[in-house]
Amino acid sequence: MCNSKCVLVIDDDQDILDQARAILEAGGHEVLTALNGQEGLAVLETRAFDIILCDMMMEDIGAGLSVCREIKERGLKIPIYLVSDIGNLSMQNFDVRAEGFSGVLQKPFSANELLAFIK
Amino acid sequence: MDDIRLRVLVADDEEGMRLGIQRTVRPFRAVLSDLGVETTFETELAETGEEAIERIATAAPDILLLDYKLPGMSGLDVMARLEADKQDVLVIMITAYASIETAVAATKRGAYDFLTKPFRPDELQAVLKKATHHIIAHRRARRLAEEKRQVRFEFLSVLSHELKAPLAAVEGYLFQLRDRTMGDSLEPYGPQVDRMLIRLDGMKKLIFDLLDLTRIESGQKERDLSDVDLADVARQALETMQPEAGQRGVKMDLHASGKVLVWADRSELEIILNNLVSNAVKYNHDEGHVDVTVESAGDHVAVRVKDTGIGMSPEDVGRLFREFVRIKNKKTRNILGSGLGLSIVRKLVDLYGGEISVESRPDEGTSFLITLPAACGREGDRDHV
Repeated sequence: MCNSKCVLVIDDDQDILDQARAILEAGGHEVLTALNGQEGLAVLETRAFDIILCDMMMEDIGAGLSVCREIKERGLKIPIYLVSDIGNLSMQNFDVRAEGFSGVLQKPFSANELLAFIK
Repeated sequence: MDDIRLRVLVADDEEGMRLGIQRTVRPFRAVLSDLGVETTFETELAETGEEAIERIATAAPDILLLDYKLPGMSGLDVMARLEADKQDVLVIMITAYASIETAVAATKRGAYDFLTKPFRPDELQAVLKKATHHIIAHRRARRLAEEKRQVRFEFLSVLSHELKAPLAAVEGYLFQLRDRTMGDSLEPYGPQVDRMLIRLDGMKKLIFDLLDLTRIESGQKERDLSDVDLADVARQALETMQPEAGQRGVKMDLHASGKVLVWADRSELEIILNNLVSNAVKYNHDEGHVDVTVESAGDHVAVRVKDTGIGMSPEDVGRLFREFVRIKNKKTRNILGSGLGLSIVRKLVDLYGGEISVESRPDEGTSFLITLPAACGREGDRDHV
């Protein structure tokens, strides 16, 4: 499929990873997953990705932010999207784009939402 | 002792007074042994109220020694201005005559203390020492309150995250069911339904644990103390975990010779043992072992829960008893927990004046050892203490 993308999903919730994988693979995309920021950064070294979806609160409250900063520091141009819910973001007065993310994917997501997002 | 240096601004129109105060304050060391602090002072001088205001605006001192009667702006005017500017400076008012009216007016404006002219150097130093004590104690209390607020904020952030995570997972699966992403037959959705039930169960457990934790911390829980057989509590904990252990071929053994009595609330001991045994099974390898040893040791009882499971790194062990810390890695990815269990266990052990320790090696296993005083809080025992 010409629109097929390689997606890295980083989230500390195995069910969210399973759901993302099922939806994206059914949509013809290739998916790799990681359960925390460190693991995600390690996977990033193994191959090229088209897009990264990353959770915020993993091994610590701002783990997603650390991942985003490290990716920018490595000079990688892969768009990285924060997967989160509005409640948490507004509580922390968090400006997604100023922190280097390309945008936010609301959690939880339906198959259509996720696939539309990846396009 | 900590060394602290405070800045004192002296505002007085009489030069002799300004210099006299400076001579007394500069060599003075206020030793506040109860706070563990030794304070020295640096002084600055201002001739008028206007000058004092200006100096405070550039760099606020900690203490202002303020003459009541100044040419131009009076002492009270200066205080009104400081209040309007929201300047947090402790003011000691210097008055020539100790009249009730001055005292009332200055106190209304928030003066902390008074010095009546003429005063001796030791009187000035005593007032300064009292003011210093107030400042440092106040700052500490404020810092503590800020830390508490921060801890509470972090706890609530993590708690709301932990409560929302299972909801998001369940909603995600329900979206797939609603949209029939795997077709109209219900069959392929079976594992998803199972996952939803497991996540809801986990959420229930979190809420129960949270209630336990809150009750223990608040001291609101009514405690029903009696002689409890710890061996029996352990036996029951093993029975509770038997179905899960059996499924995964984990073999559990209890080592106890006879009754091991401890003066305690049975339900609290059950929480401790259930948590430890459940962890020993959950974080074990299939076909692993769990050994629970309960014994009396003089005036203490000891319980050891040892598993042959996946173990932990020293860093993980260091974080283990903190709230919402769950060791997340490839090996634990399918293990569910509230992240509160061990934090509850430690709080309970503390409540009994007991101790808990952990030994762990990655891939070899983990061993928890708890010792509790056998008769902590027993009425008749107080005579022996």
